[in-house]
Amino acid sequence: MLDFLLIVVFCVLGVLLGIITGLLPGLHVNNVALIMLSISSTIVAFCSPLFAFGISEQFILILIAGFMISVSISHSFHDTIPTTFIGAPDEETALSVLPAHSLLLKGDGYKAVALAALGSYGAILVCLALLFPLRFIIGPPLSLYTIIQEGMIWVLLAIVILMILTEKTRITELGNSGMLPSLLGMLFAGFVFVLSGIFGILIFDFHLTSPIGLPAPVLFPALAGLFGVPTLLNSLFTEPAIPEQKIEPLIQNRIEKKSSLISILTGSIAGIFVSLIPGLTTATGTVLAMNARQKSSQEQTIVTLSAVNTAATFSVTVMLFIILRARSGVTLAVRDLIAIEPWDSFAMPVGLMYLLMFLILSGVLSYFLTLYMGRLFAKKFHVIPYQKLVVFTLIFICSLVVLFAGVLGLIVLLAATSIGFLPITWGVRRSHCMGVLLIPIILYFL
Amino acid sequence: MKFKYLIILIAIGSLVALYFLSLISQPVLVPLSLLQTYNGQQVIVQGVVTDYRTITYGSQLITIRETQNSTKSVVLYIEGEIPIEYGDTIQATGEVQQYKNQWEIVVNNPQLIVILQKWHDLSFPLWQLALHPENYLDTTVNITGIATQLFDSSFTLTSMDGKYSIEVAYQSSCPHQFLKGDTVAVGARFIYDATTCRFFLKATEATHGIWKRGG
Repeated sequence: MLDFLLIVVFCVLGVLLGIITGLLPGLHVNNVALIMLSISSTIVAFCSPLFAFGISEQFILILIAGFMISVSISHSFHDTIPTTFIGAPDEETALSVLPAHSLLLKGDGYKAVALAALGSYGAILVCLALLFPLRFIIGPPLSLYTIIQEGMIWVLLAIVILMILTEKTRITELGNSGMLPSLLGMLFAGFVFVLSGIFGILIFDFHLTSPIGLPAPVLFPALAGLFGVPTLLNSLFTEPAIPEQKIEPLIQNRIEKKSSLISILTGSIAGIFVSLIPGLTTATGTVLAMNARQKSSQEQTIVTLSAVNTAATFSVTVMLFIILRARSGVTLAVRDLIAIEPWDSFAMPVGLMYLLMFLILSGVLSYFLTLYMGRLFAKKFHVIPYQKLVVFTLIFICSLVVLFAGVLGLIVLLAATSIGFLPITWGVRRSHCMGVLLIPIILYFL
Repeated sequence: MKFKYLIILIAIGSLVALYFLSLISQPVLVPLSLLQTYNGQQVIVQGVVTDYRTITYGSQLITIRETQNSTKSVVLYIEGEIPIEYGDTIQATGEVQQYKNQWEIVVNNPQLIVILQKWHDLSFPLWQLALHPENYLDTTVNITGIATQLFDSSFTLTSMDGKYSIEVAYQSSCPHQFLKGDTVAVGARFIYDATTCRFFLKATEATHGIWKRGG
């Protein structure tokens, strides 16, 4: 009984920390995982009185691993709130507006959060339902991962080609007739991809140091610069008028429900795929899912994106036991904490069973808490001066970068921001910036 | 100039600036005894391979020991495989991490491992092995000496001055063309047998062997 109680306590604490990391833009869950890993022995020492009640050190390490998993699930639910409410540009002048920002500008910010929570929760249910099929498809006897691994370079190249060729933005700088604008759009997408890739190759040789001794992953300033800061700066420059937000429960008709179900399914499968292939992120996964899904509304794009995000977070934990690969900072930390017993028979390893409890419990808690926090945000949102909120967020991200990665990290952030501005100013998809990971990985497989 | 054009130039310019910065921002070569102070950072380490094995899905674990006057060792976790042998001196660039209270270096790319010296390129006399066995334990060595006593699948290797000797066990599949009294070079793994409390050389792999030397 005590062990179950401890699981609940660590899970709730993880979800609460996930709310904080999710709500604070720039604070990535991987950084929290690295910090937790470095203090894990202190936590074990703190919990040592539990040894007298039959709780082993190994179980405490599982609790810490489960705590990190709960943080990551909660983070994947709650990060939709700042994504929706902060960084929206002026829709009249901006070339590309994220779907959640578009709803915010119509006063439907809470609806965007509710749709995202629906997508995330649905993804957890889909991943759970697919757990055993995945085990036998990805692991033996079908061993899909081994097949993919042998042709990994081709899989990655196919994804890159698909991403670039499905770019729909028309660039009319050299004329507005025929195929030329579409072709220029694709060429510019390729240019952003290559530029991001060169950036990736350069930064992976960088030796960053935190001035206060924290882990200094170079991807933190890089991704914050490519995706976060340009969106915020764009919002700051364009000064959007944000209307008062409507707070209505999410009600969907039959067609919308069916559409959401398809979005959750495609998003979840894309999320599982993301957790299998190195270098893919939820942004790339969403492009793949949207291509599979074809035409869809802004609402369904939000559901799909959230489903990809949470399915990937869920699946990386399962993949750790099936393919024995850590595809995220959190699973890297988990792998360092507990013994990973391969899931190569029908029976599930005990470690995975415990972590599944955390995944399910944190998913349920996060769903309701996201809706609550979303309502709270939407209610109080108009009270906060929007431009000041954006400036505060920018300062916060820069401060985190300096704390984690030092001055050199700030330089990486600035360079990444200049590349991250290209999709915004030219209107192509921001996911092309994922060349930062994909090109170094493709070169690795060559 | 419009911002949309200017930002292209700024992005390219920032990459050029990063390139020059990357030239001066390289990981440092760290002694294995100081790894704990570089937790989470990229470092360069050097050492002699004392153990290596392939784990699931093609990752490799290599244990290296510091080359000079130290028994400190560290495990390298490599995403991929490289062809190495016991006794090779290698250099690795990777991130320092703690795994089950042990420090390890995570090397994301096998290309970040450089073989500085193959074990057979470094030949040395038996007395050197006798004076500093801890520097060579569990590595493959290339030792020169005189074959003295011969047995079915082993012989005694004695130093030129006759002061030191060691047993060499070999398999018939290993190349071995020599007679009693010949000066030979032995490529074999240097092992300590705890049950008999003695060191010996074991030539069992395809790259090992006993070769006759002139003089």
